[in-house]
Amino acid sequence: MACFLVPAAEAAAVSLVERREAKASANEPSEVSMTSPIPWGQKLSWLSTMLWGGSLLLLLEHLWHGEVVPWPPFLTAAADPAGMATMIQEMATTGVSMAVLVTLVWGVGVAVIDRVPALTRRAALSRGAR
Amino acid sequence: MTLLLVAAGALIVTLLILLAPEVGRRWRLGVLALTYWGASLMWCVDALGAVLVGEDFLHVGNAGLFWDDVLLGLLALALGAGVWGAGLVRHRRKAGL
Repeated sequence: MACFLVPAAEAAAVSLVERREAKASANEPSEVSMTSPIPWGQKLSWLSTMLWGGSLLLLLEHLWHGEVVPWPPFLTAAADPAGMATMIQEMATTGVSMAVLVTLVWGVGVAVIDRVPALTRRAALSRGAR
Repeated sequence: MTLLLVAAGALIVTLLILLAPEVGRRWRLGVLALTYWGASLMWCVDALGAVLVGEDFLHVGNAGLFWDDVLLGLLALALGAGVWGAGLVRHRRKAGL
């Protein structure tokens, strides 16, 4: 129905933090290199890519199934109160679970990359490519 | 089926990055892999929800639904690749490459 809106909202919030982080690290680059070879902003960009990318592909699925339309109210479930209640419930369960799972997997991935020197070097090398 | 196709796409791109890191860096394949992984994880939750309420996840018994899912999966892969390609072109233009 509209479950993809929850990870999309998280993606927007992460992108904002990422932008602030990029500005902050541009002012103090030495502080970043002391803690980890991979800046926090880089790690956040991985999360925002997963969230934006996933939300976009899920939007396609919702368009495919006619749950999202290009005219108001855009979400077909929002047309009647019963559908609206079901949609909100789905966002609160499926949508939140999606956002939590993606964030959890990202967190585990970042923790592993930070602790395995070979992966840290590889991720640090890829910085220039992003 | 959509989930399986996108997850397979994520796995292939990730393997390519691991086996040929230089190619991965040059073509910014990390962005594509993360996009596919993000979508796969989200569809995992969707599939789990469907299975929990007793729905058929793969639609093996219904050819119409099955091929509809396959087509959607291929379209999702194409959309992800299209967005990644557009980002790559933008990045290269910005970098003056």
